[in-house]
Amino acid sequence: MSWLEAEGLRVRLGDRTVLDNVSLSVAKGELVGLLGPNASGKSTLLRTLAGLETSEAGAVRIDGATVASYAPRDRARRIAYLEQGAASEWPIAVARLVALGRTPHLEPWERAGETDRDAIADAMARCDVTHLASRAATELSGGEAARVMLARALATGAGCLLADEPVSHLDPYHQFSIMGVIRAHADRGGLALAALHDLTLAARFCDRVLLLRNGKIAAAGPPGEILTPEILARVFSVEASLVEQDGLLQVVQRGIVGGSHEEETP
Amino acid sequence: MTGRIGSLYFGLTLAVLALFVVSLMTGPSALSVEEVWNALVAPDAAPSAIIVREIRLPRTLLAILVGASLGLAGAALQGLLRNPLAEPGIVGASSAAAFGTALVFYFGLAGSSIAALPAAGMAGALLAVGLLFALAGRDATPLSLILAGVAISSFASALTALAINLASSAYAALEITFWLLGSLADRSMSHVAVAAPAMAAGWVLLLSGGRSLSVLSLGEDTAQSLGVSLTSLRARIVLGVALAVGASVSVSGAIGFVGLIVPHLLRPAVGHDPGRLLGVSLLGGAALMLAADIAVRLLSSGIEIRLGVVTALIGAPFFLALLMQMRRRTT
Repeated sequence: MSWLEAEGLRVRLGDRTVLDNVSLSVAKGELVGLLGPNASGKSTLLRTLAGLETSEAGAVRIDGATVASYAPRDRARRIAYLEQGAASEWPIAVARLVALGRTPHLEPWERAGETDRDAIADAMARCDVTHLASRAATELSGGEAARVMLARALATGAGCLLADEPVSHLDPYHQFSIMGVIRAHADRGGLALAALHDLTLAARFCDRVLLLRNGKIAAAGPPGEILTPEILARVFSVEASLVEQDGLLQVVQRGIVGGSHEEETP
Repeated sequence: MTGRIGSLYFGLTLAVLALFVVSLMTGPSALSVEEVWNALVAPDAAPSAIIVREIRLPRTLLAILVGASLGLAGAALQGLLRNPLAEPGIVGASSAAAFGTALVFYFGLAGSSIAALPAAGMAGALLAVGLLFALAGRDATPLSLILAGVAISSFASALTALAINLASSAYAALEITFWLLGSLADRSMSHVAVAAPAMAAGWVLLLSGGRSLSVLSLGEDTAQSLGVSLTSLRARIVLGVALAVGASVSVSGAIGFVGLIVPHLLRPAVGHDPGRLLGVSLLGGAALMLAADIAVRLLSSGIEIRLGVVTALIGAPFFLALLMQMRRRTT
């Protein structure tokens, strides 16, 4: 059963059409990787799904109703959005920062109750940040900060997790541990859509991948079927192929298409 | 943390109460606690009772109201702009409110309508904070914020100077000039009555944004994804600052830097949480303003030093130190 659905999304930013006729559906239990070159529209798609950007055409539905029809707090209880490079503006304590994820569940003057404290503790344990609870959020290493921000998103208790490049700029250990937590979120009956640049990580962790190019969906399906040399060449302009070693998928990149050094073709 | 904040509230409340009593005791004729107490609970025609009730009580109440307004407005602006340098004076709200009140003096309306001063002050502050948003934008860096504030402030000061320049009589010019220095001396209970409702409305608006300001620590996108309406939050803070600061300036003149110093000193005690900073800054502002106004009376002999002069003398170096500290951190 699909829980998050988008149909015919078109989004314009200024006079540029960033998303054009994008449709997708993600079922409970699924982790879907959102792949595509820089400026292909991955972030805009996630922002639109999260209700932060309005679409000119098409609709996003979650839990049977359009995202726009929910009151902001109702929407926030269903969709958790993890911003790219999320950071705290003030040196607040990690435990307090994660607790802010409970905001959609609290009335403006209400204090966190038992359920909230359990959700916060659970999210912190899943992301392995419990020991950082009293540290200032602005003084964490890149990997610690990424785990804390993910814990903040999970603390909302929302079934749908939209993560914008959750593992960029992280060391291999943190890339794997963060993807593991997101994978576990889907396995517990949630769903996750994550924008990724690392094709091997996407092949390893995702049930399906969605390839965006110039604001359109170029291909979608299980990584084993989609990450073919032809599609990788067409979407990313790289010569690469998916190989299996000891039962693990890996994308081996040989070079760029045509040997040209341009980053991407227009 | 919650326990610590509870004791912080308790301590600040005690400080405000103690300073309230000291403020009523302090002046050209020093009074004892007993005389103050008698004047408050069993007023008679004794000179001490008249001094307390007619002269010192309005002044003391205004110190509390104005200090609380400036402290709270500073904390709220800092939270909204996510910038520890934001302050009603530095963003131009105070000088614009001062220009509004100067106009009232200029046209000689101060005596004719009791509401003219606060109304003009609030209109000025509202204009300034609104303009700041238009000039500095949403993601104001410290630099763009200060530059926009400087621009608004200088323009408002220039207009005030023009009003003084063109004032019909030397007396009117002097009246505006002294008003601008900022003081709580020679105020009556009617000043309190006129300012208090507007300030209270401003406080309610500002305090209602506490939770949203906490969430805004995570950035605007994440805050929105957590259900915070930025439009409503901005409107509440801008309007709240205009009400609180406009009313303050209209009864006390321009008293700067309280909104900068108070939140800065209290921020570590609330774990740097901008939402939790609001309530304690309200109390802290009241305490600081009471203390400053008591100091002004104790230090002065003959000509009283204006309160706004004292806060600026302390506040401006404080602002510089804060700026240098931030620069060290970013380089």
